Amino acid sequence: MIKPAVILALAAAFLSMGLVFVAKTFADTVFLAEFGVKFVPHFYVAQAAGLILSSAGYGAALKRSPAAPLDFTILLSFAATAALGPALVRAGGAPVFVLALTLTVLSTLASLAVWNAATAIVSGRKSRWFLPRAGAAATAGAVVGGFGSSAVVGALTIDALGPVIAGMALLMIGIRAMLVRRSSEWRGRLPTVRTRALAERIKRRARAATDGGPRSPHRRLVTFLAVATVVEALLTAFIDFGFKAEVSARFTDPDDIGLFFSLFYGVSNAVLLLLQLFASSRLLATRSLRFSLSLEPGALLLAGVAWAIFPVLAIGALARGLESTMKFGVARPAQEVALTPLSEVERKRWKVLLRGVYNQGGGAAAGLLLVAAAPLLGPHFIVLPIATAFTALVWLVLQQLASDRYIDTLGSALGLRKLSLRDQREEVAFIDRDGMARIVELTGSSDENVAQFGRELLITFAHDGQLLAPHVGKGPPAQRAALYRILAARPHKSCAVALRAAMAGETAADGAAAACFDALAAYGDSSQVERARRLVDGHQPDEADPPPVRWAAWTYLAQVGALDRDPGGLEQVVAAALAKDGVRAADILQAMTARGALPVVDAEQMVERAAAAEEEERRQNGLYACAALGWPRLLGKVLEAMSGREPWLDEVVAELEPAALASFLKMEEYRRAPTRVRARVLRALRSSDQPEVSELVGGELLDPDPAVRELAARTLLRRARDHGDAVPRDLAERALALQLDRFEVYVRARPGYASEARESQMEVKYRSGSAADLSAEAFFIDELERRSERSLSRLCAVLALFGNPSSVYAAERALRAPTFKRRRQALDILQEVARGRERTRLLELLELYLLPPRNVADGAREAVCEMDPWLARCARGGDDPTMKKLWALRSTLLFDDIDGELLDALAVRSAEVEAGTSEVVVAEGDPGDALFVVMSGVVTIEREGKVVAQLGSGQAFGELALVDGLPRQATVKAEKQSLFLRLPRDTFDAALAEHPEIGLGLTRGLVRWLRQGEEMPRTTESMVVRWR
Amino acid sequence: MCDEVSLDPGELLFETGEVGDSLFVIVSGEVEVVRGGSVIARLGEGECVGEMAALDWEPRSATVRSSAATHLVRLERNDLMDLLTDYPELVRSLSRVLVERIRRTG
Repeated sequence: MIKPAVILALAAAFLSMGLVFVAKTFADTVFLAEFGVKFVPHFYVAQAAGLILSSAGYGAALKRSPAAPLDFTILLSFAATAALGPALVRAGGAPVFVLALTLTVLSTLASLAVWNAATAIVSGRKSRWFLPRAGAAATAGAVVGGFGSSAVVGALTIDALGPVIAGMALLMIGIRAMLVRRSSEWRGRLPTVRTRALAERIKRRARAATDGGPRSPHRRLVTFLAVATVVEALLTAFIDFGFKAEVSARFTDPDDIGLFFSLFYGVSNAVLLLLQLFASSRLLATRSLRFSLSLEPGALLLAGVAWAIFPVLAIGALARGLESTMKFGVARPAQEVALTPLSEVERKRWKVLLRGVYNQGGGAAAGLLLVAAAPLLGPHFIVLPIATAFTALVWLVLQQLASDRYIDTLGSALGLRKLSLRDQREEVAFIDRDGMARIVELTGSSDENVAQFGRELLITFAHDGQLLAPHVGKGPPAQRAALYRILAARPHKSCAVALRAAMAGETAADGAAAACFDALAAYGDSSQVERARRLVDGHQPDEADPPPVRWAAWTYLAQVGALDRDPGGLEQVVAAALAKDGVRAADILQAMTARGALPVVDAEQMVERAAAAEEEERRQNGLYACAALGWPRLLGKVLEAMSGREPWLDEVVAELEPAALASFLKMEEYRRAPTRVRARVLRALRSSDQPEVSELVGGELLDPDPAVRELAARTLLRRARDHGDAVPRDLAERALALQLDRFEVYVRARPGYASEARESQMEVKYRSGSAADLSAEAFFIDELERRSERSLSRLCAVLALFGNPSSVYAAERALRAPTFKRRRQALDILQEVARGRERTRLLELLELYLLPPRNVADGAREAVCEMDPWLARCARGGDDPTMKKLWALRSTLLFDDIDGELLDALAVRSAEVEAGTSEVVVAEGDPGDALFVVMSGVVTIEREGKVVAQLGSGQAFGELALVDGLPRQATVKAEKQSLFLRLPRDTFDAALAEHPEIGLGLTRGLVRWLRQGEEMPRTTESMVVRWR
Repeated sequence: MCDEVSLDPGELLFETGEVGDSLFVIVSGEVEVVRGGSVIARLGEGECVGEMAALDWEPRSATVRSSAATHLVRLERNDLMDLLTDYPELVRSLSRVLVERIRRTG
């Protein structure tokens, strides 16, 4: 239900702007008809002076007396001037100048007065609703004013507008009087000395806070805005003057001019109305300020250029129309946004300064400039469009600079020295021929560390065979061998010839020859069969510890197929390889099955047998072979082993080819594998850049295990960051939508339970400490809050992914600030620095989060429970005994960062213990083997016989011992019959091994402890002091 | 996964209030931790610095500068998180470092 006062205020806004445009039509017409375009610049100067003086006078008068009588005076004199208008026009000459000037200045002043009175009737959050609507009503008034005056001029003459204006002004007086009765301005009339002094003090403090010195970002921001405003005023004057020149060249009859002006104002204001209603707010909300600020100068630059090429009235009118619509539709609101980092008082002050002083000053300067330049302008005013284009360009640059300062200012509000706006993704490393030569040389170094470093580099850069080929077979043995090994692992066709030539030069004396055999085997090059046969002649494949070269010769023969006619020997080689070099065995088996010398099933059985061997080395090599072959059945074995007692396989998996890793995701064994194993696989997949892997990882986002979902999301985000296009955008978005939807529901659920209930529960939890009052419901709410917090982080992570992480993270911290203003600032920053297609939606969600709580549908909670079985269990609550334990654990600061689900894992492992009055729970010097949380009762902490603290329920001791196991540094005694939760250290370790995420929460809890310790004293045994 | 950072004697690694998302491990040299104008700790080879901001996103709680020519390895937050999830032993040693710091300041 809209109140009558609001309707009245809207009507006032409507009428005030209508009045301005009827008056403007009348003033512009009579002026142009009387003087032509010659005195327009003089008019600019006079108008600016008049506006500055009258605004200053109005402002000064407002300080002394109430607004209403002042406004009545203004409106009355305005009505009188307008009524006299036709008579003054007939007199001609100077009176017309005075008439036009007075009407322009007084109409501006009157509209300002009425606007102020209208907007004063609402305040606070209501103004968010009211102000845009009042703005639209005002523009609608301008439209009606424009078209209305064209109707009047068309039906009668231009002179008829005088009485119309006078009548409207009288109507305004009536509305203004009614507003007085509705508003509180009479009651607020108490500018006593005390309040004024207070206001001054606040103002001074605000100024001191925002003006951090001559070079502070605030100062620079307003400086740029001020200069930009002056340039804008110049531009406005140039366009207006050029436009009026075109009009006066085209029309001579005053009525024609009046009709043209009124129609022009009607149309341009109608466009502005549409812009305000449908585009402005959306534009400002979704695009960066840099864009919004640059829009008008950019458009005017184009219009100026077009006007210079086609100097006709239509283009001039277009430029003038663009100028007026975009100024109020885009540029002014954007300027207001640019001023938001300033304090309230400073912002108001600068708004007045920018519009009242700098804008008018620029107008006056433009007028003087045009007066001086009049002889240069010539008959066709071609100079003006050029000046317009040039000024627009200058303005564009200034607006860009101002938007940079805006970012800096926002950053300084968050304590950042500089917000970075650029993408920080690094260039891909590149290496040339010389670089490659140096790396290859490194591998031959006598210093093993250097050689190792060289080899690692070589592996990184070994994707270009052309660069490698010239170095094959050159240098010291270690260098040659290193290159051979790389070529064995990654064969390059272009190196085959070089390898064969190198083999001819290799003697069997050093290890390089063995490596060379391996490399040639990888190429399937059988040119060295004779030489290999000579080497193995007279030996058996299964001899113990053969020289490397002979072993390499055996495997070479087996791999290139030279032993196919000797099945016994071949089998021996494979068996020996499986026993001592799983990867080599995989190479041989791969080659054999590829050429049909061995059925795949048989090969699989051989490897499986090896992988199941009792003897450790054999088993390990078998598993290596399984991984290296990458056949689905064998990979299943690898997964099984990883889940069991072979943690070293993690490393192997990390080295696997993306194709093999991807096939993991399709396997049944993978679904059954523990989270740790799946995490390993997902993590290894981050380095691959194949889009099809993304699809598979995307599938994991639907996994029932939340930890896996989280990991999959992280993997996708990481891949998107590192490999750009490897993750299709739509997949990334779909994946993220999962997270976002959760977030939305949590946010919607928030006001219903969280805010109030949580507050009161926290009271209970930490102050009175009566555990009996703590319910499952409270835990549920707690958990809900935490997840919504985390979703906030996720949202920011997504933004960071497509933008620049450090700025987004910096803003993200401020999103959690206690004051709404600071959170708002953070959102402003994100608005500026965020990139990406989902940006708008993400920002909307963030804003939703930041807004004050609203009433929501009851279904939200059910929705949450549906999505999250664990939360559903919490919500059911009831007599679940673990809930009490969960609460007890959560009440310790150490576990505050651990999710309920994980905490659950700890709660089921902990026990409840009792202690009677004066019973010692832990004694100084005892081994620190457990954490205790007081569930009921009271305990005292004594050190050297003195009581240093007293703990009640919900408080914990022995947290640090849980981590480092140091002996107790204090004695804890039960004051009365007490109940504790006891979490033993080894149990905790076991839980940690199973759920590594607990560890992350734990470290965060410790960091928080450390940070709090910087400000507060406490006992080392417990964090309780902070609750005092 | 990690970058290397070299500091001349007296060079700043980071300042109080700065936003940072990395943990540093000192490979060689020594750094001093300055809070409120006084040196509160000196850390040498094998010790880590900056772990707090890397873990909790808050601004740096102290200024750290090198007191000798120092070589460090930088580990970004995301990588740190990955390592910590993948290797529970790392979590344990990191928490031990933190606990030791709590005990020392307490």
